[in-house]
Amino acid sequence: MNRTLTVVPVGLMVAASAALAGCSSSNEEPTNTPSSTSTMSNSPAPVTTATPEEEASAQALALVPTYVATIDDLFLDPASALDNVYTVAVDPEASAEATAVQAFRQQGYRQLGRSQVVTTVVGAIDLTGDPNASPDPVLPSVQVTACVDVGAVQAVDAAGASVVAAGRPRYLVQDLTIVNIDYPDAASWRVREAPNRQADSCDG
Amino acid sequence: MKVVVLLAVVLSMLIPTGAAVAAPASCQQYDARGICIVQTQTPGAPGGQADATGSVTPASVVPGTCSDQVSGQVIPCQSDAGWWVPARQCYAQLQAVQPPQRSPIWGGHTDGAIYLCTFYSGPGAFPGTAVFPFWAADPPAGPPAVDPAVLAAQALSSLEIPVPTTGRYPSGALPDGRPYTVVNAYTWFWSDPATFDTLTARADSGGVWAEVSVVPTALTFTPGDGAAAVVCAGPGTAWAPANGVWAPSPTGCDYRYPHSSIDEPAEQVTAAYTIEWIVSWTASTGADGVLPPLATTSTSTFAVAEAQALVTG
Repeated sequence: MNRTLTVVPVGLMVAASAALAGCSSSNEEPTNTPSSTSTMSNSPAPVTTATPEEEASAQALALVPTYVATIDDLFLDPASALDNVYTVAVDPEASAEATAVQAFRQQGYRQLGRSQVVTTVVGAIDLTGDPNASPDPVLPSVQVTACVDVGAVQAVDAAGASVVAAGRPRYLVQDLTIVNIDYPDAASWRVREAPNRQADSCDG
Repeated sequence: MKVVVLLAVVLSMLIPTGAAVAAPASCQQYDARGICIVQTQTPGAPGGQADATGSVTPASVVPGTCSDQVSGQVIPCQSDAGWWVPARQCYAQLQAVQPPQRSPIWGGHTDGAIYLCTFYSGPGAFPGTAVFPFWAADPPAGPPAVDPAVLAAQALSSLEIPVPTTGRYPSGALPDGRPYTVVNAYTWFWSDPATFDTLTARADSGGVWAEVSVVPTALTFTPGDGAAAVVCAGPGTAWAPANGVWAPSPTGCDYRYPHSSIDEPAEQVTAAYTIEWIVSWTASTGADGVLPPLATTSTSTFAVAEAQALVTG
């Protein structure tokens, strides 16, 4: 049996993501972020070669829903190990999330529900790096803006009272800096920084 | 590197009510529950000093003490899990077996080391889940060091240093009631030995203690007639009738007034008795030192009378 790898051009996916970002999502079903896909075929098919930037973009985009789900997992499951955060993040984001999760658990809080990535848009891509830079290595990076629906996320204290901030907007718009700690290894992308802002929609 | 502050999440979760409060406007990163987990750092602003890892040293840290900001408990600064790191709010120790360099824990760094951060967890915590490895270029800083000299000063402030009593002989009273001594007689001066004794006190903080010793070194007598002070190594000797009227003090604690005090204000002199103290300290750290010397003083006012006047007058 012949096995042929077909790569979907990621440039199209990035364009699709950008188009999604311009839409209001408050009345829409959550949309999963496009990701690079591989399929098996018994028949020969043309092979499309992606540029390094396209590959990096696709890989970084693929990380976003995993990152959001992993952070949710840490809040949802008090028995999960804090260092699981390193599967999707590196410092300072990893420490920030771990500390937040630990404080959440220590208070006896429980999370109910999950976040959902609505849109993702790729920004600047810089694949040049200087691993020997001081004090911190310069790592290949991809900037991604993600809009995340947190409307379904609830949290309660031990008495069952909500600990969700009053008036919390439904969306978080995250400016993610995603770096590769072992470029070009596709599995080495991690979120290094994740500042965000609260929003009532994913528009703008 | 982005400067972030982790304290905000801790403090925001300390809100005692069930209803969470909206995060401050300076919040840089919210979690899904609307709670701020990273606050914009303002240089010099209250709240703490950010370090290179992006965490923060709480401004409320008291030197030599350790506390868990989430629970509010004062906790040991050392434990089996290492030393308390206020900036990370956990105990830290070097990870015995360093993870491979490709581990994301290194974050691409090739220097420094991986440390284990063990959070202070209350009862009901899942064993092993409160441990978090992190990279640091240097060993993370523990609580602010306790200065044993500061502890010694605290210990000193807890002491009440006695003032000398004003023993004197001759010590009769003139017909008008004024106390007096006699010209050319050996005027003995002394202080109660209880006022001339070594004092000690100890203060401790954060597992460090300092003990201060306050040792009297001399009793000085300033006669009040303009002459120099007389220094006596001890508290002096209290006069007793068996010593006789004209004998000098066996410990040298005496002074002979050459003139009467008739030309002094109110025909009296005011003598000052001063105990001088040296102050030293030792600490559990092995450090020692001295603090500025102390002096405690009392005064006594009396007349200096001609002996013959006493006989004839």
